Amino acid sequence: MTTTFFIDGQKVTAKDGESVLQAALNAGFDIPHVCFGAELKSTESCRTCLVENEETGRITTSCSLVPKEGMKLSTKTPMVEKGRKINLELLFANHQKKCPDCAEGRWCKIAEKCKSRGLDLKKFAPRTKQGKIERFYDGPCIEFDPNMCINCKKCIEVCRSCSTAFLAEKGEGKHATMGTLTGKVACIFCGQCTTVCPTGALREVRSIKQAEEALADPDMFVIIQPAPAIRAALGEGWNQKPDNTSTGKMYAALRKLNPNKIFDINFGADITTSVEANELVERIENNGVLPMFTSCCPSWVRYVESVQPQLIPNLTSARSPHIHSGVAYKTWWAEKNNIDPKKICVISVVPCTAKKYESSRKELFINDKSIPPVDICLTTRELIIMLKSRGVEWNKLKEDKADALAEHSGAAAIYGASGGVMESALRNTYWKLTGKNMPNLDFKPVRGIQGVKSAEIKIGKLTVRVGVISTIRNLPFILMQLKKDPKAYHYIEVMACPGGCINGGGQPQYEDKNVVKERQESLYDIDSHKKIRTAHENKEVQNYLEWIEKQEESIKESFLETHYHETEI
Amino acid sequence: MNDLLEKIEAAGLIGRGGTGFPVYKKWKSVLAAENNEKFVICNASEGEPGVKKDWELLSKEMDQVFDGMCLACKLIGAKKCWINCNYEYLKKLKKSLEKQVERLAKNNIELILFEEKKNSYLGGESSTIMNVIEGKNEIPRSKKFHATEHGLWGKPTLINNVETFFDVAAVANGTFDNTRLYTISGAVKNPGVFRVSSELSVHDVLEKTNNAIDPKSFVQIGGGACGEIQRGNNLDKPAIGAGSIEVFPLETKPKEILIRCLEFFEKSLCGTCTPCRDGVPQILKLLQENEEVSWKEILEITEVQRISAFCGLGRSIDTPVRSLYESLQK
Repeated sequence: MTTTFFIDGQKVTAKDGESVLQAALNAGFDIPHVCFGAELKSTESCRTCLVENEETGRITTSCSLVPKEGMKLSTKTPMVEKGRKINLELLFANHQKKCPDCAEGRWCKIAEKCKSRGLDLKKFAPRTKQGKIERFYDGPCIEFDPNMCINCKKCIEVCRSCSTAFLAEKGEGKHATMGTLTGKVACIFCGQCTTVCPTGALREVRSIKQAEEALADPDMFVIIQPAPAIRAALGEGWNQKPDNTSTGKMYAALRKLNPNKIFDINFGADITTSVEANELVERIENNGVLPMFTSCCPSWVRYVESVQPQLIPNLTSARSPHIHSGVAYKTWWAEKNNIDPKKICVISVVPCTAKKYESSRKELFINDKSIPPVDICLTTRELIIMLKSRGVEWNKLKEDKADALAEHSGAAAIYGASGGVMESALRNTYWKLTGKNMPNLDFKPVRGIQGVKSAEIKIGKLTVRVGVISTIRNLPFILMQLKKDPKAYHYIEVMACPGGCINGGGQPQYEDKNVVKERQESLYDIDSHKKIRTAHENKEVQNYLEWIEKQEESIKESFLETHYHETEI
Repeated sequence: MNDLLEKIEAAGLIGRGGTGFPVYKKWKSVLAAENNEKFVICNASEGEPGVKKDWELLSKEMDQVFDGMCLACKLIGAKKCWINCNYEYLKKLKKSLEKQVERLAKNNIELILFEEKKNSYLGGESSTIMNVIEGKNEIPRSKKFHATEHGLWGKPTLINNVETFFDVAAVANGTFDNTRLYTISGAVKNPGVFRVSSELSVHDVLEKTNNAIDPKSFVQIGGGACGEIQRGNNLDKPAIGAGSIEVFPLETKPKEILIRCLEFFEKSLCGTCTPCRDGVPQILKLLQENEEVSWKEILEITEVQRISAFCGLGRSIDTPVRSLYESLQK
C-alpha cells in the first residue's frame, strides 16, 4: 500500500507506515529535522520539520503527520519558514557558544547546516547552565555535556530500543534533560547514543590529544591499527560510500598521521579466530561448557559480567582482536625487531566506544600487568577529526598499503559485520575437524543485518548449531531457547550494536537506513576478493602462534587468554 | 440514547475545560469509534490560577456531575471511568466521592478516584492526564492520535471537564438554562464563583456580580494564565474557555503582567518541545534585560509557539501576550 501526496507541488509517494517526513526525505526534500533518526521513533520535540497544509492552513510537524491521499503540503510558506528558523535558532543558541572548545571544530555538521540556512545562532542568549560534564561510571568511554543537550530524547529512544535502557529523562520543565539510571541497569558503553545525538552532547571521551602527543613524541614507536569496520565507514567523513579503494585510501589516510608503522587489527582477528576455534573444538570434544559465546564485543562482555554473570563460563577466553595483535606487537614482533615494548604505543582505530574501556582492563595487561597491549583507542569519528585537521581530502587520497605485518585473511575482514566472527570461526573449525577447507567458504545464513540468526552446519559427523545476535535487546530470544533446551546451540556470537561493529558506537552518524547494509556488503566484498580466506592460512599469525607455543604455559595463557568476573554496577 | 446527543447539540453545549470544543462532536466521535472497550475521564485537575468553578460544583452539586458521567458511560458503552482529581479537592471530598463510587457501581460502572500527585497547570492537559493515569511521565502526548479514537491504553476515551458533565446532566433533565460559572478574582469588590448567563459580556458579568471596574484596568479572561488580556473598556464579548475573569490592580504595568504570566509558564512547562522549553526563558530574558518591552522579538517567539508547540499549553502562550500588545495599541 502506498499513499501519494504533494509537497510544494511535487508528487511524493509514501510507503505504508511512513510519515510525511520519512517519505519527503526519501524523495530528496531537504526538510530540517533534529529529533528524528533513521531507525528511531520521532520524539516530535524539535519542532523544526514543519509543513503547512495548503488547504487548511494548518501547520504540523511532518514527522508526526500521517500522509493522506492527495494531501497538498508546503514547506515554503512564510509561517513555516519563520517557525523552522526560530526553532532552530532557539535549539542551537547554546551550540555557538561552545564551538571553540568543541573538537568537531569547523567540520561540525550542525554549524554547516545552520550556515547554509542562514541562521543567526547569536540571536538568542545561551541557555542557563545545566551542570557539569558527566562521564558514565567515570569511565573512559562516553561523556555527557548537559549544556549542549537539547532534550530531543533520541539517546533515550536508542538506549531503550538497542541497549539496556540505562538512559532516562531527568529533571522537569526547563531543566528537563537526559539523565542516567545508575544503580538499576548498567551502561554497557555501546555508544549507540553517541551515534544519534544531534548536538554532540553525548560523545566518546576523546583521546585525540593523547594520540597527537604520542605521534609527536620522537621517543615513541607508534603503531596504528584500524579495525575491520573502519574501512567500511571512514569515507563517510567526506560523504563517500565504501568501494574497492576504501582499504587503500584508509591506509593512505593513516599514513598522513605519520606513525612508525601501520598494521591492521584484521591481523589480530586472524589470531582470535585461531584461538577461539581451538577452544570451540576443545569444548565440543571434551564436554566443556556449551554453548560457547564470543567475547570480542566488550559491551557484550560487560553486559554478561554485570547482568548475566551466570554466563561467564560460557564466554570464550580468547582475547579480542586488537588486544591479540597489540600483544603480538609488544612481544613477538618487538623481540624480533629489537624494540623496547615500553616504547611502543599502540593506537587502535575502532568503530566502538567500549573498546576504550576494554583496553583499560588490567587483566589484559602483559609483563606482570605492567604493559597495556593497546595504549589508545580512537573512534572512527575521532580519526576523521584528526585527518580533517591535517587537511586530508578523501577523494584526493591515493591508495596505499599497510606495513608487512598487516597481512590478513578474508575471514578477518568480515569481523566487522554481525555474523562475521561466527563465519570466520566456522571456517577454521571445519578445517581443524576435517583437515579440509569448507567446500563453500561463504556461510550465508549468518550474514545480514537481522537481529537474530541461527543455522546448522555439518562438519564431518558433527552438526554444529550456531546462533548470531546483534543488539543486546535481542538476547532474550536466544536465552529463552537455551532455557528450554540447554543444548540448542554450540556456539553463539553476540554483538551489542545493531548489525555488528560496522554500526558501532564509534562510527560516523548517518541518516540513510541503507548505510549499515552498504558498510556490511563492503566487508563481504573484501573477503570475496582475498587470496587467503581462512585464518589458519595466515602465515604470520601461525608464526606468532608457534612462537607462543614455545613460551612457558603461564606466559602463553597471559598472552592469548583472558578471564571475566562478576561486576557490581 | 442518541436523543441525548441531539439535545446536547441543540443546547449548543461547549466544553468548559478551556478549549471550547462542541460537546456533541467529541461525544459523537467516541460513540462512533469501533472498540469493545471505551473509557470516560472527568477532568477535575483545575490547575489554572484563578479558576475555582470545579471546586464549586464538586463541593455543592456533586451528584449532578456524576449523573453526567453516568450518562456519558452509558451512551458510549464505557464500563470504567476515572475522575482525575486535584489532590486538595480529593482530600476534602474523599467521603462524598467514595459514595459516588458506590452509586456508579450500582449502574455497573467502575469509578476510579485518581489522585493527582501534585497540582500543576500541565496536569490538566487531557493527553497528560492519560499518561499519568497509565503510570507514565507527566508530559503531553503526540497529537498524532485523537483521544476519542486512541486514548487511555489506546482505547477510545472521552475526557471532559467537571462543568461539562454537569451541563450534560442539566440538558438531560431539562434544567439547562444557558448559564455557566465564572470565577472572578483579583482587584474586585466581590470576588467569587458566580452562575450567570453564558451570553453576557464580561463587562455585564462584572456589573451583575457587583464587580464593576475602572475602564483602564487590565483584565485576563478565559483560562487562567493563557486567557486573553483586555482593558476594562473593551469587555463587550462573553468570556470563553474556563470562564475565569481576573482583574489586575489599576497600577499594574503591562510589563509586570507579562513577567508574571511568563514566569508562570516557565514554572509550568514540561520541557518537551523547543519553542516552549527554550522560547519561554528567552522571552523572560528579554523582559528582564531591557527596560522597554521588546514587543517585536517577544511576539516573534510567541507566534512560533502558537504554530509549532507540542501541546495546547505552549500554543496558547501567544494569546495573553498578543492580546495585551493589541490592547495597548488601541
